[in-house]
Amino acid sequence: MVGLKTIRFTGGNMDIKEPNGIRILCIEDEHFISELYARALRRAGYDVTTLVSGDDGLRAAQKDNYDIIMLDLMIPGMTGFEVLRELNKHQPKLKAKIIITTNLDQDETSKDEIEKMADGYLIKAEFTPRQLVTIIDDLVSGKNINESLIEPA
Amino acid sequence: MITYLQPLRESIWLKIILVTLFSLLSGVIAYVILTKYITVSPYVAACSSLAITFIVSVIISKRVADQAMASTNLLVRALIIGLDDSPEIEKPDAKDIIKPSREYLIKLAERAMDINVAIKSTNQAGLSKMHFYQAVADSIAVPIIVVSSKQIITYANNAAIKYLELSPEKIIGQYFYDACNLSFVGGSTLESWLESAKDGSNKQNEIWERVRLNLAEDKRKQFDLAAHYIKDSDKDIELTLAFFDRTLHYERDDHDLSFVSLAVHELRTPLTIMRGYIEVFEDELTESLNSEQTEFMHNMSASAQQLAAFVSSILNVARIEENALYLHLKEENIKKVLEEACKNMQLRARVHDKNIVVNIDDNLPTVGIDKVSIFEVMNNLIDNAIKYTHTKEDITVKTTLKDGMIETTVSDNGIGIASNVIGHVFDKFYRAHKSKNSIGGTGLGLYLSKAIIDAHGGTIWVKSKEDQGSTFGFTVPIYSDIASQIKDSQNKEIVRGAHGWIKNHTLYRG
Repeated sequence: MVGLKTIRFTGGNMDIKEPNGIRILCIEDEHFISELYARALRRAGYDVTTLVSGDDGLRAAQKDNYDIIMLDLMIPGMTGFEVLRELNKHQPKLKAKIIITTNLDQDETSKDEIEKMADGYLIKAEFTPRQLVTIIDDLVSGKNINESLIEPA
Repeated sequence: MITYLQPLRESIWLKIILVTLFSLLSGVIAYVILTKYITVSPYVAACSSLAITFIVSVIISKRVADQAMASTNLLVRALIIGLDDSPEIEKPDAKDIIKPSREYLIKLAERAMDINVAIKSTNQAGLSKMHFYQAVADSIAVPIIVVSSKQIITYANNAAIKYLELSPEKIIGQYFYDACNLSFVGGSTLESWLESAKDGSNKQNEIWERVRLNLAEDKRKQFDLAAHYIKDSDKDIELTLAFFDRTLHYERDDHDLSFVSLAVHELRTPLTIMRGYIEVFEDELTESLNSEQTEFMHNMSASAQQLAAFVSSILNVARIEENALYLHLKEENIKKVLEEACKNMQLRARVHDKNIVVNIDDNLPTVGIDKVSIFEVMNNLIDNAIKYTHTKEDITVKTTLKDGMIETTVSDNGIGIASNVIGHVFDKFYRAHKSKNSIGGTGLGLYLSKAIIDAHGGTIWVKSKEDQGSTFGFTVPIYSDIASQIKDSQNKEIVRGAHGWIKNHTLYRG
């Protein structure tokens, strides 16, 4: 068992930042999760749009107004996987970077395909919204992605 | 075979109506006889004729049901499932052959014709009845094997020889378990059934689902196995086995959402939400909380994280058991990897007033490992060392070159492991220690570690003495020894972690 790691209690100092103009599309059907993500990302200055279904998500993504798309795999209508495939097929030059945010573990059969099409894959339950924001901050600033972030310490 | 099935399909309702009519008729006749000729009271007559109606209908229904059952015997099932090799046909469920589709019946007719041809040709040759049955069995697409009471295969049809991927002489006349390496799901196996059959009835059928046949080169097939035996007067058993291949079907199950990955997904969703809201409270409530409440908040957050980690472990255990644990082997500097792993754990060790001493040889050759998995192994070993050491003594991590492998050991001077339980520490859910009630843990850590090291082609071991401490060690291969087996990954820019990956620099705009 991976040991219970001590979380340092930072306490009440998650600063509210000025809008940074970076647009994020969050496609997520679980209302509480999208609320938490949107809240944390907005406080960090991001411009967040949340959508629930795969079909709406695809339509919005095709307009290519976003910098980052956070895509859940198990969503109503088209699945996240289908959305990803569709975007990859018809809009290979999409500006947005697609990060899969899911609680589904990647299975070996679809792994290669997802690795080719997406820019990241994160298991939601393993990250708190704040940790997710840190990963996205690093992505945006071009800092070297710290591996310990993906394996939260 | 068509005539076998047709009456079932066309006349099952007719039969039901006939049974009903006949029993009603018998009731009416009984009533008439009782009132007219025996002259009992109408009340008694009504009751007795109702009873007679009931008894008659039960008896006739039983006969009709027996007839229907008889026509779904093993051979018919074998034929029906034997058509599975025609994927264009929509197949009825093996258990539901009452309503086969039109195409299915046509296909079945073709197969029956094949058999018919076989029968005719054997008749012309004037062969014995035995040969006739053999010819029938040989023309069936279902693999069939006959095993004697000495567990020697006495007969295998053509389909079986093809299915087992062995030459005929390696099947017929051979010991059954040599030719077929089978694994069963759950407790009931062919052997246990045969064992109970020794005292049982003279004739019996049994079906097992999801049986696996292990072939050479890690190839496997999955099927439902139907068995039928006849016991003769000398208590000799002749066992007939039919293999209904389901490899594609079951593999798809395994790869799609298996029960475990679905359960894990469902557990993780509320966990994600809980961890999220706890964090909101942590961030925004702290100032209004007293120190005790702050600690409670911390406990809640830590427990939610622990639960998330445990849920992931369950998934890994399931993967190991489905033989689906995959590693991303890469060339790594072992010193760097271990120092990073120890750095992650050092903080935790400090909290428990312990220190990790790292002593790694310089100039070790590079290793071929999956870094994330080795992190997990190190976390487990160091975590155990911390948990089972109650003094302030150091935990030592050492790495050396040994017998052509790189060996890493984690030693503590803790409470150690008793000699009678030490053989079980790598078992699943085994928590040996008498202190297991006071020390948290799931009993999965060492089981997972062993699976990870095994998958690397290394070995994991433990040496321990009660009250003197334990040393866990594991070996991993040198990169140059396995370099040829490692497929060069095309995604070199991917940064992998235990819970996901990110392509580096993807958003960097200069």
